[in-house]
Amino acid sequence: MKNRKTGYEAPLEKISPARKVLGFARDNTVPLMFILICAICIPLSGFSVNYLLAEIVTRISRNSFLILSLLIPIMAGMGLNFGMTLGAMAGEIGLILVSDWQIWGIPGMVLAMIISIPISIGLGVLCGKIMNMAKGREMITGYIMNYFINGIYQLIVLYAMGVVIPIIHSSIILPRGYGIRNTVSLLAMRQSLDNLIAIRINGVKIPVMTFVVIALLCLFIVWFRKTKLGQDMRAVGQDMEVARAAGINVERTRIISIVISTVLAGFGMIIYLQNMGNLSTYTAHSQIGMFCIAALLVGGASVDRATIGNVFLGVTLFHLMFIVAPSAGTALMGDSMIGEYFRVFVSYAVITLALIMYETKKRKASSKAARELALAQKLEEENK
Amino acid sequence: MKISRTTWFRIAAVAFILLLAGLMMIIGRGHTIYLDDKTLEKDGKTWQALYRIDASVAGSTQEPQTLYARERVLFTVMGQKATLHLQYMEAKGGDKVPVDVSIRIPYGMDGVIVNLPALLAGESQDVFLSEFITVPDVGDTSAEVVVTDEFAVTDI
Amino acid sequence: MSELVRSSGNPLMDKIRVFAKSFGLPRLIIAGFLLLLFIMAPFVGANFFTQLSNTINRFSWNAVLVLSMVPMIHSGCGLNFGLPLGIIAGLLGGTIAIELGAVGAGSFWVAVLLATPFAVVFGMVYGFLLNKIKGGEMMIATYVGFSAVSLMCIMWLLLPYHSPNMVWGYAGTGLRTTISLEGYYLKALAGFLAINIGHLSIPVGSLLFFALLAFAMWAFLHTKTGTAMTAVGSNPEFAKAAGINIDKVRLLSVIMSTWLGAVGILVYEQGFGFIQLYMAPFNMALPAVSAILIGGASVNKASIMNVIIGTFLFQGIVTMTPTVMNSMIHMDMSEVIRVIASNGMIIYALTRKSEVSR
Repeated sequence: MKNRKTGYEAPLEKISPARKVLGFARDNTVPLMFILICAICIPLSGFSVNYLLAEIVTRISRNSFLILSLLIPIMAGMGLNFGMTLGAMAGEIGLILVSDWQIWGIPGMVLAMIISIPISIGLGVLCGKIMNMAKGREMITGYIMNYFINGIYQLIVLYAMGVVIPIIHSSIILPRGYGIRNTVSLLAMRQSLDNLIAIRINGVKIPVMTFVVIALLCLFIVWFRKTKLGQDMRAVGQDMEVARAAGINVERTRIISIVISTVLAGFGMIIYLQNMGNLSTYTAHSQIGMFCIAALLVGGASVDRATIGNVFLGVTLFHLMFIVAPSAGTALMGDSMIGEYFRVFVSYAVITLALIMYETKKRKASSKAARELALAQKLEEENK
Repeated sequence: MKISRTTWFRIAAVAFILLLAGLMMIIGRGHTIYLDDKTLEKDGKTWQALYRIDASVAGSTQEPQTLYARERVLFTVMGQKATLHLQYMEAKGGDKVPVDVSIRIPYGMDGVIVNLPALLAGESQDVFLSEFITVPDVGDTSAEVVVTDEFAVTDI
Repeated sequence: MSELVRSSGNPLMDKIRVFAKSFGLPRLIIAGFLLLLFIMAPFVGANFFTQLSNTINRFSWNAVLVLSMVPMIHSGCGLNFGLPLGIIAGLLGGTIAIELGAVGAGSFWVAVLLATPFAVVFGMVYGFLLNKIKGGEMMIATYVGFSAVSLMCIMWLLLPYHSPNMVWGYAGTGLRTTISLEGYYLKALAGFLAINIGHLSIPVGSLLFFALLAFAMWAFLHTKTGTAMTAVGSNPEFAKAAGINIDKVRLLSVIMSTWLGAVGILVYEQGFGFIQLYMAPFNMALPAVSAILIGGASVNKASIMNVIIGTFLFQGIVTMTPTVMNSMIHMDMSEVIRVIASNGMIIYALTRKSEVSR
């Protein structure tokens, strides 16, 4: 195996089966841990298999689109896009306007998506540009951008709407006369995508159309990886300097990856909310980023590598844990709050673990590369 | 200024999306239709309420409903045109007369009231159609506290 | 640091422009905004001295928390988003002090004493972790902080506390979300030598305590270890060449920051009047981080002056904006403004290359 950077060829070693198993366990620590946690908690919770199945199908259909939007920035080396919340906010603004204009059902959903596109693009460009100015710290910058843009979102939705931005129906405005209420009912489009084609198997409702849309997104991502832009992004993700030397506009490619992710997050948030049927104007988007990233990591993804398989494995395991934790907590400790805190703790711990593993791997790889380079130089010296 | 192929594609894409948005706004506009079986007096003319009407609206999520004199039923419908399938009985024990009528709903009105006696008498839209004006609920003026707590543990 | 400023021929103008450039545009905007608020206060019916007292009061609560940022910034560990860890150590100290029966102003010192071993242990583990992941400290610190807070949420419910002032009445176990410090260390520092003249009230005790810690920090940074710490942060290669054990120095800085965070939350509690458990420590890192950045610090350089200026500006905005804005435009935009200003400041700092002013 030749190291691309140093040209050093390491001698092939035979890997024993035991080491293979250990290697597998080490690479997939997080999903394995989660399977263990679920295996313990599910019987404790007392839920029936049918109930869990129905819940999981709903949650997969609701969340997958959002989690899929995280894949492209990882490909481009931007790490975990904590800024996906920006897209979620754009989608919410679209939904607020659409419900005010009384556009119902699927057309309402599509219109909300269309409205969210320019907002997402604007926010994505802003986020991408700022991340470019903070190379090496993209994730924490995206994370803080969340709070910053949330402030601007509140400025618009809590203050400008009803005053500067005309809202037709006073029923969604706060009693004080401006600003949108805490919840906006999306009854008019509730489950419109889900119900479009829905089949029931054994009492479990499967929203076929939603899954079709998710499948289309997966196909898009697979196709995108093969396009020139997609290849450029992978090159930038591997090594920015090498890509720059190859003539790729690194800054622009990075920004485009964030823009695509933000637009997709906007669509995903709309799909999520049409399933919920209700928009919590100020809190819906706040935890969504963290939970989606946690789910992706649970599926075995890392900060620099994520596949579509990770998305679906992750959403299943993560949401299984999420559903059974409170009841398991009640069964174990007599307090369901413990279960609820536990699932929050596990979400954060999973992200912490993934970040730590990524950083330690990065440092090991760079020190390994440095050692190999030194070795190669030494060999060169000796051969002179 | 030469317009390159890429720019044409972009303009076409934007135009397509705008057209799509316009289309969505038209076909997705939802209205609530209130059907009244009430005696209507307008411009000196009177239309008597009918004994009983069985009504359904094509494409509405609601089931067919029956209304007697002085009653009102509600249907929700998407789009600007509503097709009403009516079966009315003029007096008790009379024949059931089936009528299908299509009405156009003005885009700007959220809710419309259709006076069925006038409609069935063949009158024009400005006679039988009127706007349903919602009076905002003034009762609940308790200050609504806006919850912006980002860290509340919520279900996902 | 002194970037080239084109000379306009007028020495005074040049001096002003160099100062403006090194001070940084966002800070100028924030400082100007605060000045405006202070000027407008009497015009909108808010008493200037009351507002000033409020600001100084809040300054006294938060200054130590902001001070806790300094050691880690100096040693190159970045902005301490993991402040919740230190806060938890402080919370443990406070709750155990009450549980063991300490009362009155003295319970404050008992709490500090009890918090110290926790802070040191947490700091050691945290510092050990940060040493393994040089380069990605800030993001991981954030999530370590979050995981710790959510783990403690479970702990607060399970740990064997029994003091009737702290546990839920009907259940008998599990700590309450907020615990009143009435009878304990409420105003333990603030009450000491407080100045109360008319509308002006200054918590001299708290300010003295902060001054003591600040001076100790300043003195430390001038010792051999302190200068080593600064070297590690600003020039790691030089530090290594000079034979300094980088990992050891970073570990020390993390322990110091964690301990100061523990003391900081206790100072905050004595001013605020309540112990806040469960999810409260969650979002306490961001205000402290943005405060020190507003004061002029950067990701790897911070001075005591930054702490003082930053805390004052930040708390000034937090205190003044609601009163002034409310009276003026009858719209309470204060929280939104605070969110935008403080997070905008952090983004500004993250996008700079290593730079400092004052």
